Amino acid sequence: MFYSEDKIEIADWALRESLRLGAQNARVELSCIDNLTVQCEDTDVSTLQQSSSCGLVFRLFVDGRYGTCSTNRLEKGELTNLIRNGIACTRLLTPDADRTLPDPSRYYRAENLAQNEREILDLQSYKPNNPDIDAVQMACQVARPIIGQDSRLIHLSTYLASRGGWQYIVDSQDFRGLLLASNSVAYSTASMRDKGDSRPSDSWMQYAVSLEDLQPLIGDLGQKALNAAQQRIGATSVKAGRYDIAIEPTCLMKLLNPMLSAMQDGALHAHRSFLERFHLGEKITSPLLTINDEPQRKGSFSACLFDFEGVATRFTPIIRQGHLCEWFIGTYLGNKMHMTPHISGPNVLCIEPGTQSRQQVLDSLADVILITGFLGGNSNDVTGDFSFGIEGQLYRNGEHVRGVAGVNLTGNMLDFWNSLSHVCNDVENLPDGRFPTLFFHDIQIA
Amino acid sequence: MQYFQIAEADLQKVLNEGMSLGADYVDIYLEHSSATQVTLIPTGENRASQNIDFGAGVRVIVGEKTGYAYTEQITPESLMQAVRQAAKIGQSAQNVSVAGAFRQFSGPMPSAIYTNHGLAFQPDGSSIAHIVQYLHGMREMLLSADARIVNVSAVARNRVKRVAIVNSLGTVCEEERPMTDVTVNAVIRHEGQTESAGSSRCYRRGLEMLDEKLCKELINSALQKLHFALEATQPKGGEMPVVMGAGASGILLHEAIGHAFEADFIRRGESIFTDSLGKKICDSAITVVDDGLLPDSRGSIHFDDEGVPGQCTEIVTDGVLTSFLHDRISARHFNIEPTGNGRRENFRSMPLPRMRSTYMRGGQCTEADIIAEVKSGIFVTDFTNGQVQIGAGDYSFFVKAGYLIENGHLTQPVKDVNIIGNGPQTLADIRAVANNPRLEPLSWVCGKEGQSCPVSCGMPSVLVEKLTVG
Repeated sequence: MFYSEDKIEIADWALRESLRLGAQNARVELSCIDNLTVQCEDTDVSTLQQSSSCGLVFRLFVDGRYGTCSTNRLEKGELTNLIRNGIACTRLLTPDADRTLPDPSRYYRAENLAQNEREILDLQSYKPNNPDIDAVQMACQVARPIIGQDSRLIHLSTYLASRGGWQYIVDSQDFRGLLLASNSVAYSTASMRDKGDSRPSDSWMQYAVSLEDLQPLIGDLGQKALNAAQQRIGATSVKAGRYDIAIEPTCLMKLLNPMLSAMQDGALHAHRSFLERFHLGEKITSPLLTINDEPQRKGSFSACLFDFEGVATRFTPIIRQGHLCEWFIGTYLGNKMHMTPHISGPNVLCIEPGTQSRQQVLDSLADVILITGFLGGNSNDVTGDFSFGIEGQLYRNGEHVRGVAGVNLTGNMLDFWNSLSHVCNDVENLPDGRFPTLFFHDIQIA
Repeated sequence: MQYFQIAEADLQKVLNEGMSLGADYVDIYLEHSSATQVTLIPTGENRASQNIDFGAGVRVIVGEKTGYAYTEQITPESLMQAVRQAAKIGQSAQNVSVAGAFRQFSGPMPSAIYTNHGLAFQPDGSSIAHIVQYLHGMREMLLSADARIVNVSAVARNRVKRVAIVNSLGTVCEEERPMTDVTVNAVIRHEGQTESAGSSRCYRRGLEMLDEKLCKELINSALQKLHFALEATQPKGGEMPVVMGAGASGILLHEAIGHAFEADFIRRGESIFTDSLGKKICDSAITVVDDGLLPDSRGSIHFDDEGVPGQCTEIVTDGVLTSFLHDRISARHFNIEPTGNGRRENFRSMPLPRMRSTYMRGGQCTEADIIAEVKSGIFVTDFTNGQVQIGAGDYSFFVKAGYLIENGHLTQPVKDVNIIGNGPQTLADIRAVANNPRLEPLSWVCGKEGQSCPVSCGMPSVLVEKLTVG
């Protein structure tokens, strides 16, 4: 059992207390998380942090009004005061008939918490850390293979973090659900000396569900960080113009997020979405793009059985061959906009891969900028116009030419995603989903 | 420590325990924060939230190594457990001794930079009632100001953070830190075009700052930005002279030099300015400070999160790099007094060198003189999303509003472009500094190593000879 029955008893009591003190409906969310963080400079540990935290969030539905309160003080006396004040404050708000708990028929249901726990463990998104694994030793080993390899290396810093925990949600419509999640990440940054005072750096990151699973993946982490930093030396801008570009899977969310945000209920409700003029089924991107939300895909870091409202997750096409398949509509704004609620946001985004490798596509093109990082920038919610600073590598006929820095990627989100020209077969399993390298044709670089 | 219901003697025992386990330095940071927020959604309904966060962080420094642990219960037993956990860092590997000493700041502890006037979080709901009324009034005024406005959303937050710090150097300090911010956003439609814009203000004050004057200021600012957005277009990109307008252009200092002056990056040799202390890095007309003492400013602190008194630190004096921004660890490394820049998001995080209110002092010429000098360039006034590469010095920030400059005159309104530059190069390329310095009281949030921190920044108008706009 990976949860505490004592703490669950407090959450159940807090729900009863909320109803006793005047809420007509309530949801209580209990979160307990363990954190371990190690930082190393080269092979020496510099910081070590290990802590646990626990907190409660109350969502209170009082006389047709809605308020929330939260605390990490779990003593019953403190909680009673917080709930009483939260209810009093909620009564001062404007009535809003659309504030309701979800339709119970949409809830995830398990016979009991034990079955719930078994089903989560089956998703393989949670694994407790093996106590025999020494995280400090593991982090300090990362730099060892590259020490002395390049005289320009100032140092390699490694950050290793492991986080695991559980969440319990209970509401006044008899929903009870348990979520378990864990992840471990190792992140190395190599700092190099360049000409003058410049000290370019670059990083490499590796994820796993636990320290035990991470350990075999980080043997070459320092080397990859060093290789990436070496490619940053002498990076310069390219002449402004239109280029073919490729996006590393690890960078893709920066360009995908504005599209996903434009599909959110909040953006549609506030008329702050450049997709507002489209309807479900209409073409919004290149036909090469198919994205599904696969929340119960085994081994994915964000896999889950239900969302924060307790609504059961399910496979959902988001964009199929360029056509919009789904808005992200939660219960509240679904009620308000008279739209059928579904999911309030994606959990495990999966882009359907193509057949070619990245190198095959690079070989087939003249000049390509492979984007490996972003430096600031923004996208306008309403118009979709964007400009992002980029870092990357210039390739010519498949050969690496040099690093690229100091330029912007600009355009409009709809034009950009309609310029998708190739989807590769190199899918990476990342915290937000599973993404391959994508290529785009005729993109403005300034 | 009556507020935290723990005796100083018990805290001292925890410090002693850390020292007995081999520490060079131990500190305890106690925190109780109460926050309340009201959000007004576009259709006029609202929601409220209240949050209480309570706990203490214990830090143990052994040589160059730092151990940290926190607890959400402030009792002698839980703190003792935390210090033993944090002290494990000393047993984790071979220790390297540090030549420098933990030195105390020799100046006075400032007072009354900000005060909590009593109009802060009230658990009985009176604070919520006040905010609700204020936001609804603001919404009605903005909607009635222009019939083309489709909707208005707004949010106001008030937070009071009680902190106390004790350490093995004998420091004991405690205070209450207020913070209130308010933001209004609106969507406007005109002849098939939809645009959005907003305005915000933030001060280290209580809810008394939500007055009629501020309400009008926010509405006027939001209206101006909405009308501007309807006119503005994305300009053609390229390298060009850029006039950074007074106020929010302080983001240039924050990104281009501020982060790279944070002394943890200097200590590790990662910053592009690592070898520049005492060297001339820009024109003699330029002086830049990082100031923790500005009345009511979001970045101000009577003492930092390591108990070091708040200070005003000149980081560039007449063009010469005169100081980095230090926490206790970097100050010991360089054997100097800490500058009061050790800050943290909350008790769950270790302090790091962070900026406070960073601004450039005013120069001699006028803004009009500067604009008149530019034949073809851009004048920028409103920004978001800054980021910097500490080692390479490359930085960027996004321009939400500005104008083209053509033959010395402001012409077409522009928006939605990114500016990229290199910190040292940009400083060296500043050709003129105007006499209109201004601190912009927006809700600036600075991110570093996963921690958010309230800061402020400002600047007079300056001419940068060449930046990449695109």
